[in-house]
Formats: sequence, structure tokens, C-alpha cells
Amino acid sequence: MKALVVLETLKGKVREASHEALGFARELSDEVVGVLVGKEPERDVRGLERVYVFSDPRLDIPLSAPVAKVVEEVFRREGGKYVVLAATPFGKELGGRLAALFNAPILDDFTGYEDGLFVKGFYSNKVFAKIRIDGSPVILSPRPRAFKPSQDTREPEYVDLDLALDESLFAAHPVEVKEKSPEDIDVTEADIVVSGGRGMGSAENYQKWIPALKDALAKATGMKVAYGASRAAVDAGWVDHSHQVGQTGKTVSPLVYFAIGISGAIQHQAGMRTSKTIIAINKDPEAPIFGLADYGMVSKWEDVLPGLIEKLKGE
Amino acid sequence: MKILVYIRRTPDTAAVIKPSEDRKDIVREGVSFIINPYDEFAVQEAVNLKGIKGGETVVMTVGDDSSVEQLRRALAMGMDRAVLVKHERFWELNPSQVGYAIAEVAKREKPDIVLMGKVTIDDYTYALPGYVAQALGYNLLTYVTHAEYGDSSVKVERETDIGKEVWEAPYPVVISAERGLNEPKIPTVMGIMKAKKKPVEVLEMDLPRYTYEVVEFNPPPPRKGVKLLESVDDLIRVLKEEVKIL
Ligand SMILES: Cc1cc2nc3c(=O)[nH]c(=O)nc-3n(C[C@H](O)[C@H](O)[C@H](O)COP(=O)(O)OP(=O)(O)OC[C@H]3O[C@@H](n4cnc5c(N)ncnc54)[C@H](O)[C@@H]3O)c2cc1C
Repeated sequence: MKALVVLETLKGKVREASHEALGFARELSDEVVGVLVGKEPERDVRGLERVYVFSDPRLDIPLSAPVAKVVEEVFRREGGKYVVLAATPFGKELGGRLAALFNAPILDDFTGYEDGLFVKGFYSNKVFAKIRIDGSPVILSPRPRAFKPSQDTREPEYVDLDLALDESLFAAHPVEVKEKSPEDIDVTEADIVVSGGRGMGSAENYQKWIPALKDALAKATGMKVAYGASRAAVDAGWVDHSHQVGQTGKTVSPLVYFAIGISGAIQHQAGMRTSKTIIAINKDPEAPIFGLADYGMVSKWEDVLPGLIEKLKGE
Repeated sequence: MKILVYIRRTPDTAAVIKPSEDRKDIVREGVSFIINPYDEFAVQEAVNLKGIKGGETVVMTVGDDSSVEQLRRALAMGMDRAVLVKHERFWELNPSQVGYAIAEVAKREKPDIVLMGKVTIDDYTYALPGYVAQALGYNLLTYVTHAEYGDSSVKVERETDIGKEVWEAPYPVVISAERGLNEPKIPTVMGIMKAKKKPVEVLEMDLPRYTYEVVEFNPPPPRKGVKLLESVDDLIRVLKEEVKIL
């Protein structure tokens, strides 16, 4: 059964999350057709039978209204059982549009697929649901990092799409984009997340020590490291809320999650409990975070971080 | 200006959630319910905007009889009237069915702005804003942290994985709220009194049917339990030998 995969691009390159979506689609289907949209997207994707390409200078930043129109056209030509797209912020928006466009059921932000059923965290990962969903088509939007990128090496045939898109599709448009610096890795994309909470004591402490540990870990491991925070640290204004982990922040599943001066409130746990390894540093042995952590240090962070950072520099 | 806000009744963020006996649902007894926190930003935004521009504010939900509690709270926060699209087990609906209901109400109400949260914290879907914009042919602005409402268009700040962006769109528009958009206010006693007299209209609606069901809920995989470490050297050793990131 055929799958259409929307290949999201950034600066002409297909995003990692879309390669993962493609990997998932390959698990599902024996025929995979891509929709590649952007401002002159690079034609270097592997693992699909065909890729439809639509390039438009107005799509340097992806816009969901025109991209939905392009997907509609490809679907008209190809049909398909599954429409697959990565659950990036753009993909989540586009997924909803495609569900309406195709009068189809949708599952977004799921993390697993076993025996024909999908796995997704509900109630902010407080429970996990096994879901049956079917339709023609079905919109499936896997969470970034949940699936492995496709290893399939087949070279697709590229088909250029010549579509005249109505100006009205571009009515909602960006006027200014302040891109994050490449070092400012999103907590959801990181291999390691270093989070600080109210226990850091002050903005100065948070802003000095959390980035310092983040940088030391990045150097020592060569991995993608991001800094995160509890809501208390965000509410205190120590750090921007895009770094908040938890039920009303971001849900993360890194290899390693450091919780420093964080009590482990249920709302915080919801955002980080699926981390592979959790390391907590907290002076209170009764802090709920130790109920979740794999490793814990019952100490003041002041007695741990300076020495830890120093030692990491030696690694 | 006419504004339609969609809200959803969700368990309190502090609630402990466990699978029910038959695994088909969660235990709902003893759980307290709130307005989905992101939808609460949407309600406050509508109330603030009416304060500046005037007009009418309508709050809607797709829910059971208990959901009237959340509608009343939104009315107490300052919304003018409410619409309940009735569905007994609304939490089992696919986002496309909910999106359909929102769009149907919007077609009747013809708002300039449809507001809702970026995500619902129970079934964790982000699909509603896109669905509704597409179904209505409205413009769409998602993950909005700040908005300035002009006479014919709205200019917003939004946050994505790319960075901080400023976008513009003419009305009519669907806006999805991100944390930071405003500070929701707790209803005043006066607000609560007034809310009791505000109309709540109940609608029955045939929703599209899909194959979509939770076959079973499971608790999160158990964690191993904590190993306490005594020193920084211990921690370094663990990072090397057990976690293997060094
Ligand atoms: C609707 C709603 C949504 C929410 N959403 C979120 C969310 O998304 N994310 C989130 O995180 N929270 C959320 N919360 C808030 C949550 O309930 C907690 O209030 C918050 O997580 C507490 O943050 P904290 O752990 O940093 O602070 P605290 O709970 O105050 O904990 C501070 C910890 O630091 C320790 N400490 C103090 N000094 C030191 C020191 N020198 N060295 C080491 N340890 C020290 C203390 O022992 C304590 O355990 C939400 C709440 C509500 C009501």
C-alpha cells in the first residue's frame, strides 16, 4: 500500500525529522512517494520510488496553506493509503490541514508502531495508548526522534510539479525570522538535556552554571546538548519559556536528562519521564525527582557542578 | 470584531492518571478537571481583545454535560455566550471529528477570529488549528506568543523550532495560543455571578465517522529505581561506564 511522505525542508535541505518519517513510512509501505517543497530544495533524498518537487521562492520558510495545496495535487495523481509527515511545528500544522482536506482521521505525535497498532503518550505521558486507526487515507505524523531515519538507498525518480498557486494561499506570511543560533539546540532535539529549577537560587546562578555544564558536556561527548528548565525557573524569568520541560512545556526523551535543583512535580515529570537515563542533583533526599531518577546525588548543586565541569574538561 | 474560542475539558495537570480496569479508558473518578491550559490563554485573549475592540465573544466546546463547568468558567472569565456540541465520550473522538464540529459552529457564527490552544493536554493533539483553518478557508497563525490586532490584519510573534518569527495575516484567521500570549485571570465573584445568567446553547451534531480507537491504555514503563552517588568521581565513572556518554 502506497504512502505519501511530505519532505519538509529548511534552507533547501530535507530535515532530519522528515528522514525519520520516511524511515517509518518504509516500515509501513512497499511504495513510498515523496512531496518535496521549498525554495529550490536539494534533490538528494534516498529511499523513495518517486519524488514530486515543487519549488517556489516564497517557500523559504514552509507555509502550510500552499504546501497543503501541493500535497493535494500529488494525492490527486498518486492516491495512497497513508500520508506521512514529521510532527515538527510545521508538520503538526500541516497535518491538521491535510486531515480536513482529505476528510481523514489523524494521529499526530505518536512514538511507536507495533503489530499494526500505534503507541502514543496521552495525558502528557502519564499513560501510553495503543491505538487503532484506519482510513483512506490516514494522516500519520510521527514525533521527531521516535523513528530511525531510512537506510534505504534507492534513488528516486524526480517529477517537477508546475502549479500556479493562488496568491491568497500566501496571505499568512512571515515578515521577520530571528533564527536560533545553531548552538541553541531545542530541548526536544537534544541527546542530553541539562535542566535547572528553582533550587538554582537566582538568575545569575542559573545563567552561569546551567550553560557551563551544557557546554562542558557538549565538548566532552560531542553530542547535542540543550538546556532546559522547570516552570519555576521560567516563571522567575531566568530563562525563556521555550526551554520549559513539562506538561505545559516541552516533552523530551533524551539519552540523558539532568535535573538540577528540580523537585520533580508531577507536571515536570510528565515532560521528561521517558528520558533514557535521568540524573538528579537535589539537596533534599525526599524530593519526588528521586522516585524517577536512575542516578541521584543528594547534595547542593554548589558542591557538585564546579567539580563536575572541571572533570568533564579533562575528558 | 467577533471571536470564537474553542476550549476542552481536560484533567488537571496535577492529576494522577491511571488506566481503568478494562484498560479502555483512564480512571476518571476523583480526577478534577480544568480548561485545557493552552485554551485558557485563548479565552483570556478573546476577553482582552473585546475589552479593546468591542464585539462579541463566543466560547464553544465539544463535550459531555460536565463540560458545561468549563464553559461556565470561560463565561466567568468574561466570554459572552457558550455553545456545547454534545458528545458523551468526547475524549474518544479523533481530532478530525472535533475539528469538524468546531468548523461547523464557526460556519454558523462567522467569526473574524477563531482562537484555541496549540495543543490539548489529554490526547496531545496539535491538529485542530490546521484542521479548522483548512475547513473554513481562514488564514492560520500557530504557536502565537504575542498578537497585535489591526483593523484588517493581525501581526503576531510566534515560536517554532526555527526560532522566533513575526507573521502577519488578514482576517479572518485561526490563531493557536502558546504559553506567553497573556496571563489568564482567575474569575472574579462578579464574573461568576454574571456567568450564571449567560446563555449556554446545546447542539447535537452528526460527526464524520472514522476507524479510531484506543485499544488499551498502559502505565508508563516502570523505571529502575535510583542509585545514589556519593561524589563527582562516582558520577564521572557512571557517565563513562554505565551511561556510556564519555
Ligand atoms: C497548570 C500547571 C502547569 C504546570 N506545568 C509545568 C511544566 O510544564 N513544567 C514544570 O516544570 N512545572 C509545571 N508546573 C509547576 C509545577 O507544579 C512545579 O511548581 C514546578 O515544576 C516546580 O519547579 P522546581 O522543581 O524548579 O521548584 P521547587 O518545587 O521549588 O523545587 C526546587 C528544588 O530545588 C531543591 N534545591 C534547593 N536548593 C538547592 C541547592 N542549593 N542544590 C540542590 N537542590 C536544591 C529543593 O530541594 C527542591 O526540591 C505547572 C503547574 C501548573 C499548576
